[in-house]
Amino acid sequence: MAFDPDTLSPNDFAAAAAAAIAASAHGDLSHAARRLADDGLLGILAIEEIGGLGLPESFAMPVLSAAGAARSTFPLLETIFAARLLQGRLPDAATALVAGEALVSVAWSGEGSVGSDDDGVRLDGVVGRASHADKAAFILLATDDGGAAVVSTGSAGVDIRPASGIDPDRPAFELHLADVRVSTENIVSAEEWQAFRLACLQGWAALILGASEACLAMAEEHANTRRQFGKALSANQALRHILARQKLVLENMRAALASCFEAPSSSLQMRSRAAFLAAVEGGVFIIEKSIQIHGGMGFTWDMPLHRYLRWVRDIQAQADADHVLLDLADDFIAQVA
Amino acid sequence: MTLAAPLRQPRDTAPEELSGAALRSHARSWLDSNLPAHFRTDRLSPEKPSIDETIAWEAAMHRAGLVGITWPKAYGGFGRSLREHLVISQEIGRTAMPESLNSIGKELAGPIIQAVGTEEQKLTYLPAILEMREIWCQGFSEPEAGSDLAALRTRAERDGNVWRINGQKIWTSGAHNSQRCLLLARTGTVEDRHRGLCLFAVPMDLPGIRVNTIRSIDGKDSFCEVFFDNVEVDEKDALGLPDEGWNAAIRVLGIERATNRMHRAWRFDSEIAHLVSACKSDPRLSALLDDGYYRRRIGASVGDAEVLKSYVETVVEALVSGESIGSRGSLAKLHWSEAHQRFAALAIELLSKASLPHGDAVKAAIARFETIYLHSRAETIFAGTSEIQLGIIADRILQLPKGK
Ligand SMILES: Cc1cc2nc3c(=O)[nH]c(=O)nc-3n(C[C@H](O)[C@H](O)[C@H](O)COP(=O)(O)OP(=O)(O)OC[C@H]3O[C@@H](n4cnc5c(N)ncnc54)[C@H](O)[C@@H]3O)c2cc1C
Repeated sequence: MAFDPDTLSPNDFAAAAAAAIAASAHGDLSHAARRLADDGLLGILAIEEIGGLGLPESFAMPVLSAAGAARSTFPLLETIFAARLLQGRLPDAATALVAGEALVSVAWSGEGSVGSDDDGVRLDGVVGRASHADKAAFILLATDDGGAAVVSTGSAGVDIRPASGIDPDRPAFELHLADVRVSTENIVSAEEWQAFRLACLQGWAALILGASEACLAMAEEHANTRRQFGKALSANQALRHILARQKLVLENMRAALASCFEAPSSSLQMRSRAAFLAAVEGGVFIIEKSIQIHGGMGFTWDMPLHRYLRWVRDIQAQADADHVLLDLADDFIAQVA
Repeated sequence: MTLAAPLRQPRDTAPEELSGAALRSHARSWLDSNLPAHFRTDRLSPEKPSIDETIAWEAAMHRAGLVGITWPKAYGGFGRSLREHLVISQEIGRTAMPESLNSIGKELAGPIIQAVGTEEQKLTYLPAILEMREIWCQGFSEPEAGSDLAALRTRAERDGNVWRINGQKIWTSGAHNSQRCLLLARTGTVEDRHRGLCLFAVPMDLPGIRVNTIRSIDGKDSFCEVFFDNVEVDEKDALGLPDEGWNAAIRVLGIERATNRMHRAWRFDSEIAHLVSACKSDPRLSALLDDGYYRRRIGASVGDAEVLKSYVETVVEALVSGESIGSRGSLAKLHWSEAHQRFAALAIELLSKASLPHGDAVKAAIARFETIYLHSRAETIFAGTSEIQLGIIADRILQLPKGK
C-alpha cells in the first residue's frame, strides 16, 4: 500500500485499516502480525527505510481506536511505538517488528537496575505487567536511571514468569533479570523513554476511545430494543440520562485526544496527560454503566463488556494513571508563580 | 476613577492587519495595560466597578478590537475569522476581569439579529450593542415556563402598527440595567406550544414595563421579574415574523451555544492558577499542595479545563472547515458547568485551611472563590439545566427513540 499523508486523512486510513484489524483481532498472534504487517499497520509511524509508512502520529490514533473497538489482542500500540523508538538504534529489530516477524512486549511496571562493568551493560531486578511476554522476541523495560532498555527474551539471565492479571485476553508476565547483558545500542535515553511514554498515553486514549464507543453502541442498542413495562428501556428518562452522560464523557475523550494534535508543543504534555485521564476515567464509567444497562445479561461472561472493562483497567494499571494525574497537577502547580 | 488614557481615544488601536501571534500579543498587552486595577477579580479592592465604569471599559474594549470580532464591519464589527475570535477569547479568559454586562447583547441578541434582522435593524441595534449604548436582557423564562419554555404565556397581539404585549417574565438577568429586552412572546394560545412564538427587541423604557429586582444567593440583585402591561411595541422592533424569528433563533443558538463565551475555558484555567498561586503564598496551603489528596483534585480540575479547551478548539476547527456541529454545545455546557462546580467546591475547601491571619493574596482568593462557588450553583440551572442538556444529548445526539 502506498500512502500519501497529504491526500489521505487519518480517518480514511483507519477505514482501510479496520478490516485488517477485525480479521486479526483474535487468535494466533503471529498470524495477526503478518496480516497487520501486510497492510502496513505495524509500521505506520516507522521510517520507510525499515519498511514503515512514515506517517504522522495522528494517523495511528484512528487505527488504535479501531483496534480498541475490535478488542484486538495483538500488541498494536506497543509495536507501533516501539518500532519507531528502535528504528535508529536497533534497525534489524525494528524491521522485524514492522514486518510482523517478531513481537515486542513492554514491561510497564517496575524498573531494572542498570550497571556497567568491563563486560558492558548489565541489568538486574524484576519488572512486570508485560503482556504476551512469553511470545515476544524483545521486551522494553524501564531502568532505574530514568531511561529504558531492550532485552531479547532469549538472553541469558532472563526468566519470564506468568503473573496474575485482570485481563485474560492479554496475559501478563513478570521478568526476572539476573545479570542480563545488553549492548549500548539497547539502552534508551531518559528523554526518549519519556517521549515514548507520552506517545503511549495518546495511543492508550485512542484504544480506550474505540473500546468505549463500542460499549456505548451496545448499551444503546440494548436500551432501544429491550422492553420492560411495555416500552423500550431507553424510553425511561433515568436511562436516557445515563446514556447521555456516557455520550458526554465519550465526546470529552474524543475532543481531548483530537486536540493533542492541534495543540502547540508547549502544551502537548499537559494535553496528552489530560486526554489519557479523560479516557481512563470516561472509559471505566462508560463500560461499567453499559454493564448496568444490560442487567443480568451484562453480568455474563459471553457478553464482551467485561473484556473491555478488564482491558481498560489493565491499561489504567500499566500507565499508572494515578501517577499521570499527580504529574499533571505537579506540572501545573510548578508553572504558577 | 480615571480610566487609562487609551480608553478615551476613538478606535486608537485598529489592529486590522494583525493576526495570529501578533493579534494575541496585542490583545494581551492591551488588556494588561488598560484593565483598571479595581476591575481585577483576583485582587482585593475597596471599590467595585460602577455600571458607568463598566460601560466605559467594555466600549473601550470594542474600540481596541476585542469585541464584535467576527461581526461584519458595516455593523461596527471587525469582520475577523472565528479562529481570530478564539485567540482573543483566550486572552480575555486569561485575564481576571468581570463578565460582560452586555453578554446577552453580544452573545445572544447580536447573532440572532444578524441571522433574522432587517438591514435597518442590523444598522440600528448592532453598533449600539458593541458601543455599549444599549445593554440587552433576555426575556424568555416565565413563572410557569422554565425548562418547558414552550409553555410561555406572555402574549403579543397585533394592534394596527404596534404589537401589544401583556404578561410576565422572571429571572431576567440585568433587566434593571438594560435598554432593550430580547422578548419571546406568543401570538396565539398556550396550546400552540412552539407555534406562533415571536421575538421582539423591546425598548425597556416603554410605558407599561415594570422591573423588580430579585436577590440571588450570592447576595446580588442579579436578576429581575419584568411585567408587561399593555406595552405597545413598534412593529419595526419585531425580529422576523411569528415563527420565523424563533425558528431562526433556534438554529443560531445551536451554533452559538458552542461558540459563545469561548473565553470561559481559559478563564477556568486561570482560576485554577489563581488558586494555586494563593496557596503558594500561604505556609499551610503550600504544604497542602504537596498532599496527594489535594494534588489529585487539582489535577482533576486541570484535566477538566484541558478537556473544555479541547472542545472549544475542535468546535472552532469544525466550523471553519464547514462541518455541522449539531448539538455539541450541550456537551460543552454540561461539562463546563459541572466541572466548574467541582473546582469551586475544591477552592473554598482548600482556602478554608489557610494560616491565620490571612495574607492579602489569600483574602483576595477567598473573596473571589466564595463568589464563584455560589455563582456556580446557577451554572447548572441557567441556559438549560443539566437535566435538560442530558435530554438534548439523548434526543438529538444519541437520537434515542422516545416512543413506546
Ligand atoms: C442566575 C440565573 C440567571 C438567569 N437569567 C435568565 C435570563 O436572563 N433570562 C431568562 O429568560 N431566564 C433566565 N434564567 C432562567 C433559567 O433559564 C431557568 O431558571 C431555567 O431554564 C430553569 O427553569 P426553572 O427555574 O423554571 O426550573 P424548572 O424548569 O422548574 O426546573 C426545576 C428542576 O427540575 C428539573 N426538570 C425540569 N424539567 C425536567 C424534565 N423534563 N426532566 C428532568 N428534570 C427536569 C430541572 O432540571 C431543575 O433541576 C436564569 C436563571 C438563573 C439561575
